[in-house]
Amino acid sequence: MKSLMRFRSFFRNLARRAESDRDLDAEVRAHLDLLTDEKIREGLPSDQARRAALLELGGVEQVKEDVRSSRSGVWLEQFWQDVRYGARQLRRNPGFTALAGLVLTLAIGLNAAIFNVFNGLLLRPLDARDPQRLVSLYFSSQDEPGATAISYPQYLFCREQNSSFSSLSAFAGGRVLMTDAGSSGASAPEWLQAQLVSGNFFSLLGAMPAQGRAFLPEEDQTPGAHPVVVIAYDLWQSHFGGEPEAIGRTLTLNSLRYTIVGVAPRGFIGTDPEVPDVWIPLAMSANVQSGPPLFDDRGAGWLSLLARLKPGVTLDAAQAEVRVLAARYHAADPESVRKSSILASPASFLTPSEKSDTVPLAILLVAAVGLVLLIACANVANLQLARGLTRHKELGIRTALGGSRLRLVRQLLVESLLLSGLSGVAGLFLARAAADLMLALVHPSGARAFSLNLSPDWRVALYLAAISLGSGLVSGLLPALRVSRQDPLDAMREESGVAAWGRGSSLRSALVVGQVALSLFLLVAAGLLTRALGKARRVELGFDSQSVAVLHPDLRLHNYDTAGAVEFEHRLSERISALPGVRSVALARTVPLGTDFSQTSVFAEEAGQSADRQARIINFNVVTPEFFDTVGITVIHGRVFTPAEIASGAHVALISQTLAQKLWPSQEPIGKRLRRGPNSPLYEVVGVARDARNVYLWAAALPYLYLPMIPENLDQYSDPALLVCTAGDAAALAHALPGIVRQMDPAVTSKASTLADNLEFWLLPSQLGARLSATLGLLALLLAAVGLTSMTAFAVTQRTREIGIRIALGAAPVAVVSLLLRQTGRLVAIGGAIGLAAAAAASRLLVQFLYGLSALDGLAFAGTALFLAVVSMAACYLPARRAMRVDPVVALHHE
Amino acid sequence: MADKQTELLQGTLDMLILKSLGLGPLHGLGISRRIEQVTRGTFHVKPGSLFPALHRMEEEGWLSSHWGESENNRRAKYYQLTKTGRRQLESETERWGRISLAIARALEAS
Repeated sequence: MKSLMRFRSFFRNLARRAESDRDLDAEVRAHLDLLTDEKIREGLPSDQARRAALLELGGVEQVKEDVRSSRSGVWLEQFWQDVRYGARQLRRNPGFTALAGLVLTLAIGLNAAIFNVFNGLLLRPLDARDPQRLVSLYFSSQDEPGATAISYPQYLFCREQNSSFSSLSAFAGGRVLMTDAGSSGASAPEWLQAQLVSGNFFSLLGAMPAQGRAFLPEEDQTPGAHPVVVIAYDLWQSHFGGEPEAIGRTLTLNSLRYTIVGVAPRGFIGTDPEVPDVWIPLAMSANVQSGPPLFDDRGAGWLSLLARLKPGVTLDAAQAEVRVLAARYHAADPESVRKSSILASPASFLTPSEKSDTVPLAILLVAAVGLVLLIACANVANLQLARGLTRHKELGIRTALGGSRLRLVRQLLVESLLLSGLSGVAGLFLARAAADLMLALVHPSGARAFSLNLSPDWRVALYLAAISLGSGLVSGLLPALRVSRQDPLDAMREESGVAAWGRGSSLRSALVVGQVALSLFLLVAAGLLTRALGKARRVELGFDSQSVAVLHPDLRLHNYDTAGAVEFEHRLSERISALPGVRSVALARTVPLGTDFSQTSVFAEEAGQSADRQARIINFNVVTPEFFDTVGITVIHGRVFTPAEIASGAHVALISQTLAQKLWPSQEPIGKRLRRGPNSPLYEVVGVARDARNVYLWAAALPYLYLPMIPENLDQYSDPALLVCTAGDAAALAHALPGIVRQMDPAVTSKASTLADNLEFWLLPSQLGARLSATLGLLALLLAAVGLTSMTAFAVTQRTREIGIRIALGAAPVAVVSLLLRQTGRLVAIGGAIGLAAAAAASRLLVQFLYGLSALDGLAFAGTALFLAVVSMAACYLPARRAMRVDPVVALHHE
Repeated sequence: MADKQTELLQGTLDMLILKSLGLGPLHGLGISRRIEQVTRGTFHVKPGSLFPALHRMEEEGWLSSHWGESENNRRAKYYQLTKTGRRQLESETERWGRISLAIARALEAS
């Protein structure tokens, strides 16, 4: 009943505010009249009676305000008032609104963009029907952490035996060479991203093909029987003009003709942000993946599994079941049961180990852009403080009229929240555009762009709302508290400008110092990474990266065995040697600084169990004798392999300086023998090669082993690469090489690149880091410069009288400017010192990416500091110049 | 804000207003003077406290108001107790009785 009454009056107050206000006014005035009558009856003359009555009442407006603020629903009404008043204030100061809004929009947009990218990659469920019910299955093993793929027999076992999933799908990635896109004309050969998928892949994701159909169950049964393909929407558009007739045409992929049965829906991302161009049934994998057939291999993991939970089955229940299934699968082998299992986790683009690698990076980035947002807030706070001074009269009058301090603070907060809210809305649009830009930036030119769903979802909206609210509070609260704490009398006095300036200035100075420090911190990181990049490009690699082209023929795809592949490549190298400009050609199992590793352990023959005479898990390479000349790795001691040793399959080896030092410290290594494991033959060391950065760019000296190019030393999974040293342009040569392979065997496809490309690949993280911290640092500096400019401009306005007096007393205009510059210069210097100290402390974390550059590199630190000093002085000088033009006569008449 | 000599206890103002309206409708100044009169000048209720309290109590449903003529022919807003207001006065009086008894006992004991 009582609450009902309150409820009713709440709405009556809202609905009939004007009416009840009039009523209240009449009531208070009537009270005043009654009071006056009373005083007159007491014998006062009528004018004195009126004054006495007013005094007793305490002011009509104040009483009315007291009543209004005791009404129910008053907070809503006042809030609405504050919003309207705030909006009016923002409209009335377009300069402030535009500047503060721009600063906040940039910073909020940047934050939301970064979050949007990580949201798309890490948080968002897959773009599929009912994605919460999708589960990824991974193989987990104690031996190889991070090995996450599942073997084909194990996939079949899980598919037949499980009772948790309504369907279970398998897929694997691959690359195919498209040589003929149906009748779309004689298109140039093109590498496509392919995904091998089980027949139920599309139906499990709930993706309806845009044209044609998805795969039929029988197309995924017999290996090699159904060369059919579903193509991506973009490929359909670019190669078939989006015509429905594309269905039924053929594509030649890895020399096999495939029939197009369907087109994936527009914007379909599926299970991988590197969206495939074509989907091919798993049964066709022999045509896509090199190496021996994997269908019967119980141990070789190559499949990712995606499953849909049956209604009512929880993730935990499914996890428990697949664990049992894994144990049953390995029943014959107790060792495997103990060591390995299957993990079920909510479906996501990234495997759990990739996730744990990415999350810290995400947090780091979010923190970095958070710093920029903090700078932006400091800036807006600063602007508001400065503006608060010009508003002291307005606020003073409101205090005098009965506005409580709480009410004033609330009013100012609402104003700053209004501003940050508007910036948040603008930031939403920026977030989308910037996230697209970021994905494009993150990928090196030529590589495939990532596709993520970047249309903002509720997470982005929530994040955006939170940071907008947060920045509104952060940028508004301090100034509001500061500005509202003033004496109304003081405010009423005319010339309180100078005094007020002094009062707010310590807080404002602290904000400027903080901004300068933060932007310098980010810029130093950018400077260090950029300097390190330059250094890394000139770093002593120990081999020649500039004049070597690399060729990878995919012989395994085309029925060559190891011996056949080596024989083919020898013939190929003879043809390439005959090309003009070619100095030498070599075969190698792995390419220097490539992404493919081969590893082994080595033991000195006489070592026994002694730990210091062995090297566990070192990298090795299998090469022809020409390798050392071709890539320019010097053999400093002994000799390279002889043709006779290769022909006879002799067990000989070259070792790197570091390995020699490790196995036979201060002994003559030539003629010594090593073995690769307990049952391995003994290899005689015939030479020592200079250390080179051929594995990791940052590792100058690693133990390394070279074995001769004989089939025994090669594994069965990949073909040797050809390395070609040329006197001419390596990139141009690389472009021509695949054509020569096709001349020899039209079916064989190949990839070509240069060693310099490998170097660029290693530099990518630094490049990204440098680009990102430079962008953030410059943005931060821009914000700081805006802050400095507005602060100086404000100082000039506030001190016009003082400046006028100084000039009238004969101060040179230059002296006045330098007075102003000294003041801000001191703040910049303090902020700079803090920023440099913080950067020096943090730069040690970057040491891995610095390639030998000192973490305290003088040029990076001093250069950045100088740059900052110049920019900040310019930012101060522009408004300070105005002080020179102050006319003392006008200035003293001012106010 | 409400006192001349004695701080009003929280909630006391409401009770005094309810009590002063017990005999019939009064306007704001009338309520104020009635309270002064019955407390022999101990409490002097200023308009800044009186009006918010009146409006709040009206919202609670304890009072109703109407415009009327004052004794010297001025328009004034009159307040009177509603049924709920009367019940509220009874329960407040009873509560106050208990409190003052308890406090008196506490002070007598020593």
